[in-house]
Amino acid sequence: MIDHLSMIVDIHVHIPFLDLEKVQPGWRETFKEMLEAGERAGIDKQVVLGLSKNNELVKELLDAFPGKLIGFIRGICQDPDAPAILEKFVKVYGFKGVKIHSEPNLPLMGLLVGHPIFLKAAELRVPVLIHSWHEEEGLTQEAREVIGAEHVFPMRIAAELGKNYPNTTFIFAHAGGMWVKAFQAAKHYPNLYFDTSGFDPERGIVEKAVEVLGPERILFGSDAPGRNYAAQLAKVQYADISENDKRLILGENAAKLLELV
Amino acid sequence: MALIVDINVLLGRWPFMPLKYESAEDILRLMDRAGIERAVATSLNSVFYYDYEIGNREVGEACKRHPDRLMPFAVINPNFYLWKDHLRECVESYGVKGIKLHPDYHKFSLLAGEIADLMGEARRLKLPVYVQTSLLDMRHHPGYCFVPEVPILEVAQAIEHYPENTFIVGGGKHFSSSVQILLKYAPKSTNFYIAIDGIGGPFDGLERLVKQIGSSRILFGTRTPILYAEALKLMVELSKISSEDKEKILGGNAAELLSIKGS
Repeated sequence: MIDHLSMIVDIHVHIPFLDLEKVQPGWRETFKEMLEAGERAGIDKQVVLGLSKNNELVKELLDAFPGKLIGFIRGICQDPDAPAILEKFVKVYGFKGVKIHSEPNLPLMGLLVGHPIFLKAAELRVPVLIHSWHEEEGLTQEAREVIGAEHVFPMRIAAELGKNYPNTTFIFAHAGGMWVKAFQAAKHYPNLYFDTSGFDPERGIVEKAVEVLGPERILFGSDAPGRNYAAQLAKVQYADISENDKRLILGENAAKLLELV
Repeated sequence: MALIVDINVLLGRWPFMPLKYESAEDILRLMDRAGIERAVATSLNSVFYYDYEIGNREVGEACKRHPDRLMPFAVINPNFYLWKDHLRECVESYGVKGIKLHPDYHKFSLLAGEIADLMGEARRLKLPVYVQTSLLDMRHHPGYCFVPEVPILEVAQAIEHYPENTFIVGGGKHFSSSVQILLKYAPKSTNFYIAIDGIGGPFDGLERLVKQIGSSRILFGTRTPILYAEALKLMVELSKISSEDKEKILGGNAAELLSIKGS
């Protein structure tokens, strides 16, 4: 456990919708409870990723809780004006990044081949956070069904992003899913990062990330509201890594990447 | 300070990666670090060794070395013909306090006819039956060894089918969702406890569970060393539930269930 921290930044938080397309009554109150739960756990700033295309609601939250939240835009990749939309949200609304996930009729594999938004993100100096579960070889059909085949893609594609877009910063969520292979594939591309969000507090994953990638390319994330902030934080706070590594992962890397200081 | 009892620590070797903590002494160091006084120990080697009895004996001997800290449950694989003899050995030689089942790795159904015999023995010996629905989120299973978790509906049916048995249920992918299914399909059953080592979400999952079923049937379990014990302890400590509920979950309920002295 570390004693002194400058700032803890959670790079991966969602608007509390269960239904991606439908605004649910009471979601603002739920979000307030989420924010307070994160603060009780010691989190200073939370990066809010919309679910689906509800980016205006993310903006509403940023306005409602000034100084506590950071916005990432999402769900615009099928729009021919996606680069312009990203630019507007970054320059006008102060968003700090873009989240990429499968969109209707546009699976992740299709997005990862390449997209103009990646170049625009580089130009705007904001990162691209990608939902990730890298695997292609060795999974049984049963396993693919459990994981969700539409979210499974080969790590070589991710590595190619690192090579093909050297000026774009990519953050692969959930430690890449099949984490050992993901870290290895990304090792030689300094513009590829990982977040720690969204899986049980398993011993050894953060440690392996530091061993393979070094501590500067790992970012703490919780995946709230789907996950418990304190349990997610513990993955870093109690990992067998140095206190300096913990500081970097919990906040300093994100602060640098998002130009918070 | 109230007693803290971890219902789920594991001794032995995790075959998929070195966790550095395999012996009783290793686990005690992790318990000390997390501020956990007592724990129920079971054997990973009994899950993965072909001769599962070896692991139970290892755990039994380890618990004898640390009777003030560790108490054993016996992992029983009912696919082996002499499981009843082995359970008797575990009770008589090591004083096991419960039975742990891994139907996913050991490939049996909780609804199979032969399980009735096992449940009968558990009742006769007054041992709770701990069903570990999985040791690790299936999405992190290596492709060469993907083992589907125990279907929660099967657990619900077993709980209803054996109302005189006491069950502990824990583990699994998105376990909070599984618990909701369990509560939906075994709505009248109260003969089971929920171990919290899978309750990693939603952000207020423990608070919701306490509202639903109260705190008396929730047990603090950490799945140490596979998971960080502190993660589950912090989750309880920072939840918006009463101090009384926290004390019951962190140790009071387990102390009562297992008749731990000093409680």
